[in-house]
Amino acid sequence: MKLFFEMVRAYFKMTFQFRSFFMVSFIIDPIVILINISLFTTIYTINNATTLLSYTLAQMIWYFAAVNFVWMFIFNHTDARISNGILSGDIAMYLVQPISLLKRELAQTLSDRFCSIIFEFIPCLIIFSCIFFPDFMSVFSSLKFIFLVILAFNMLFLLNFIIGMTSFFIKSNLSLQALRGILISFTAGAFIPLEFFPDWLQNIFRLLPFQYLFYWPVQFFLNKEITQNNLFFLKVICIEFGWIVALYVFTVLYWKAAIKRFCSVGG
Amino acid sequence: MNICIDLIRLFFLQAKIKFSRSIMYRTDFFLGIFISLCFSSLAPLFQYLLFVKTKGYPGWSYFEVILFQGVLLFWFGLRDTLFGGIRPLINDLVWKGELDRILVKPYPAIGILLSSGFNYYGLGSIIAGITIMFYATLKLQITYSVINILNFLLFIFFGLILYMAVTVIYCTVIVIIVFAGRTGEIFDKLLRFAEFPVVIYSGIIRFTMLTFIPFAIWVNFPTSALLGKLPVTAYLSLLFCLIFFGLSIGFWNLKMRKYKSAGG
Repeated sequence: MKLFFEMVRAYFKMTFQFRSFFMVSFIIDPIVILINISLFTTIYTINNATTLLSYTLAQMIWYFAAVNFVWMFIFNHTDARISNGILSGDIAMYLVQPISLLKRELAQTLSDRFCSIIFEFIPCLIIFSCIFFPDFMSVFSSLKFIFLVILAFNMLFLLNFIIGMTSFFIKSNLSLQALRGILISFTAGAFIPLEFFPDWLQNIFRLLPFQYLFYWPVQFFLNKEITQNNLFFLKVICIEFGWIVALYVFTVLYWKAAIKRFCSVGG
Repeated sequence: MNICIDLIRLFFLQAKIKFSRSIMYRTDFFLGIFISLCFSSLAPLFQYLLFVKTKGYPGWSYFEVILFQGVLLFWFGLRDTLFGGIRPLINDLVWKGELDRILVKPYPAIGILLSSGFNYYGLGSIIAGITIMFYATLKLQITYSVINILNFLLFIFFGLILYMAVTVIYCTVIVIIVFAGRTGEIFDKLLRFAEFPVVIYSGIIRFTMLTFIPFAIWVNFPTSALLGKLPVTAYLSLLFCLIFFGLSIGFWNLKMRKYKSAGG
């Protein structure tokens, strides 16, 4: 455990050197919120509505900002790093180190996300609030959001690690990474709120785990009526936890099969 | 004029080489086009879903918005096919210090860069865009006059000139900062203003998009041209495209006078 925390600390120091990389979000993300303000103000005006699909104007504008915030907490390159490690031969060195590849990748991802929270999330939250104040937020909704997004981080990490392990079989998994990106964008509500999809498609999406990556954390961030029920919050936590356990078990079993196929290329 | 013709020939030569190289790996080729089409389709799909669940945009009917999406996809495909390869190229050249070998060539360096942008990924979006435009045209039951089509092509052409100007500015910024980082993301987010009908914007944003930095020329005006709703003031944006292009070339030349090789 001590080794793991030392690795997190070391990676954090490395990532900290590139803090300006994260701070570019100050410039990029307000552009998106400006477009959304124009777009949704026009749409709500033409519809002569205060709510559309159960979202107020403020909630609809902030939905996309909240999706960005979730990305800041959960984004990781684990699948690409493992694939690049296989292709370059570097992964052979990682496998002989006294820490598993899973923990190593987790350490690096945690350090990236700590930097992202400090240099992206907190400043962007302040800037966005100055542009369009989130009158729906409460302290409890924010705390619930943070808790759920931590679980979402674990889910996406395990998912990307599983995709990364496919490179033990196919070497380059670029196309799988792209497909994963498209799948998550649609089914997790990262692209547009799930309510915009036809009912039959929403029913399919609700069977998949991806909605717990973006959709439900964002719903709690927006402090929607359904999320104010604490029993519902517990239900979402239990389902998310269940998916994390299932993904972890699959990861362990898949690792045992993948490592037998290990063949480092390059080096 | 001879230089322009030579650079166009250079573009087609490079396109032919890149295409021949790519088609050797057929699965990767078709998968690349498919994935690129999926990513390009996100913006039109977003607007379609928005339109279906709400009353859409003021002054735009359902199939007019479909036509708008078709033109948007066509535009994405066209710009990616013609210039999609420039950003990764300039990022790589500057980072490795290899821009110098472009500077010693007998043609303007920026001309060589602009003619090196062919990227086959955009072909899928072009085909999809044309298909959707054809479908929307059938549903709208309109017949395009020669004037409509000529106006459409005119605005697409000048839209490409504006996009070249944006690309030249990007190249200049990369030469200045050396490490690209997330600069491409900044440009992409700014260009997103053009993905929606200008009617949703108000005040200074709308004015800017119609005049000084006429992003509306990429999708709005070509769509309006096809629908026969083109305002006379739209032709003013053609002049601003040329001015913007001239300024971007001036910016590039200014930076090239102070260029110091980096990387290597």
